[in-house]
Amino acid sequence: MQTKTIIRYVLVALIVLIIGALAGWYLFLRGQSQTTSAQDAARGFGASTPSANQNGSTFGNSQSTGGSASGSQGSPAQLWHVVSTPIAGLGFVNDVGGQNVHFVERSTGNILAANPATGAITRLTNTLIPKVYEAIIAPDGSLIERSLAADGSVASFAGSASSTQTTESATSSPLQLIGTILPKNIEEIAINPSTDELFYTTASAGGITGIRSQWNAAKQKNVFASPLSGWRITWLPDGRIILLEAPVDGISGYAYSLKNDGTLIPLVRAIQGLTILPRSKSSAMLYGSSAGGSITLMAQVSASSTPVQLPIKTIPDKCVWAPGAGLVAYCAVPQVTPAGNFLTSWYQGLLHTADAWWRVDASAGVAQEIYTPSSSVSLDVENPAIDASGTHIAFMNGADQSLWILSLNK
Amino acid sequence: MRYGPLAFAIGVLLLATPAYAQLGLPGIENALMIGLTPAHPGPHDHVHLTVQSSAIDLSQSAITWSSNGTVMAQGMGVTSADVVAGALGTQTKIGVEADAPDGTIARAQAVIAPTEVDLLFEADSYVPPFYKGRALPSANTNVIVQAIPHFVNPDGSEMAAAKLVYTWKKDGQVMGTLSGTGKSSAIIPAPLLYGSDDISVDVASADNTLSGTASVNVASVDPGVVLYEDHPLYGILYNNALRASTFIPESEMTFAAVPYFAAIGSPNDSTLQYAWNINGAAIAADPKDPSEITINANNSSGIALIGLELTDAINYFLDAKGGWSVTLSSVSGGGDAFHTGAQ
Repeated sequence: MQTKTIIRYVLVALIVLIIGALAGWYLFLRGQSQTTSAQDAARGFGASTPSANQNGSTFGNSQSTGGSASGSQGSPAQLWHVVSTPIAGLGFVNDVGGQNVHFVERSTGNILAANPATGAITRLTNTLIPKVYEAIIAPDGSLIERSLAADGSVASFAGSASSTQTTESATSSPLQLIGTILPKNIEEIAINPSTDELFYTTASAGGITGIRSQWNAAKQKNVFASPLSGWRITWLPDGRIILLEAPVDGISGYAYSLKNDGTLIPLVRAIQGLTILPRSKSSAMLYGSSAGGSITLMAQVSASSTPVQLPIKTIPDKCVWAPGAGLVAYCAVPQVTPAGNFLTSWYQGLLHTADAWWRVDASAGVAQEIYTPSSSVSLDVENPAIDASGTHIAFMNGADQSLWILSLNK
Repeated sequence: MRYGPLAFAIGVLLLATPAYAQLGLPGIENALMIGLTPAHPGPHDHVHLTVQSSAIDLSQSAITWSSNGTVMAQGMGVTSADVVAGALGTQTKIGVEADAPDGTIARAQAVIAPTEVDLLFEADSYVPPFYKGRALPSANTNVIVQAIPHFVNPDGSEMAAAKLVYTWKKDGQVMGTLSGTGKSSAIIPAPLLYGSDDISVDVASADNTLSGTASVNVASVDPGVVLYEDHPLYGILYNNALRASTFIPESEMTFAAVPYFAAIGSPNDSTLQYAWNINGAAIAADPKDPSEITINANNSSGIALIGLELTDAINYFLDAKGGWSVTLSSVSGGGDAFHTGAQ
């Protein structure tokens, strides 16, 4: 009898121990699973796909400052913080119903459209291209997305989203981004704003080759060669291709117009820390110099005129020409003039400015401040673009790569 | 930085015209020399002309200067004059005539045919993808220089760069192997650390009627390491370098070191040696991706002092150091050790 009792107690004790061990093991695994899930969620795993939502995750990041609040519909404030997450590039596109700002999410490569008039944001594509470092958008909505491949090479994709899908067609769904994978390791690339033709530089024996091609990389034609790889390209709507030697503070730089036969016509020569903003259908240009810890901005209204130093301290990278006949530009000007080697520090992300917007009359050589953000907003303007009517300027904040739109009519 | 502005070209035709010397030594009518400042004027440059002679006392001579046949200056002892060069492709014929007291008349001519030579350079040093600035030379890199001449014929056509003759010099010494017809670019070892070289190029047409020059001072920089966040969704945020002291609202972050202007092809070159440390404790670099380090602040608190010393096994000039103070958002503070890991 006693033996049976002992056996019962032992069995009960074993069962209790086993149940306890299993419960402990369960709790341990659940804790680990929660930690793993939290870490995965932090990396974006399991997030709903962009296609599930017409507006997408970026929509919730929309903010306005300096005026009335914005919503999904309704006029945004004068300064509209469209998205707070990083974007890869932007451009005004002629959509049905007017011009929208198309932009590319850096994390997904998805294209979205922001309507400056209504404040509506629409997701246009749902094709995933992760970690897009650079996007160039043409007026018809075609675009280039550039990213880094696993082997470190630069991957470039030329694509287009239907320009008929806008905020006016609210029931439509995001589309697939269709396009062409361009050759690897393109150094610089530009789109002809009028024809969608491409011009890009790629490494070749003894330097780089400049290639013109159709949008799908067909009909490639070598039109330029240089032992130097550091060229920045601007393709103006009037068809001119402008090449700028990669700028650096205190060292002379040169800018050229590239002729069809490959010869270089000088635009600006031997200016230290040269940066340039040429104007389409005109020989006017803004160009900047950075040397000796100081930056200057010059305006030249014609090829034969004497350049005039403007009374603002900024660089052409922060400026955009207004449409129309007048030689008017809008420039973001650091409210505190940066010291030291501004270009190199700015390009390396070592410094950020807090800019105010100025209107520049290049013909008169004068500038007037038109908008200063509130003290709580710090905008380091880069990649500015202006719409065809000259009423809105879209730009990225260099500090966080977020998208902003400034209305010039309010 | 010194840039030889432009170049220019002159066909200095210092061929004296046969003069009707009445007295004096035979050939004395050729005894004038015209000097130009700048020696190689560009288009629309102001050119200062001087005349010299070792056989005639010019201070006692009546001197007449002409430009394209039009008298522009004259008088007793007028040994200098000024003229504005024309546009590219034009020629300005300068004439000077000296009438000495003994009746000797001497003449000289020069032709100013402006040209331009642009001298561009960069280095084959490392800069990250999408960088908008220029790659600068550092020790053990190479400097690539390119001359872009603008030599225009009177008919407006531009001479092909490939048909011109280039003479490259470093600190005044001709680099013969790099010079010759069509050699419009050159690859030259960069100066040693903190050093600089004067690189110049003389360019001339095959018949030597047009010529120009340009120069540039090339200095080596000390490569520096800049630290960026390598975000899991966005990639390396090259737009926003880590400051000396940074608060990061994340509990875990990967950092990528970028050695600007180093003599490497990639931040993960096998010869590079990354010596990471966190709060003074050495952290072994990931052999697959030594340029990156991940810090996890779970169960940790306080400031992480990230230190990095970057050297190169075969380039002893590379010794870049950096230090950053980072405060991560701890999930549950309490511990005192940051967890690190390689990516």
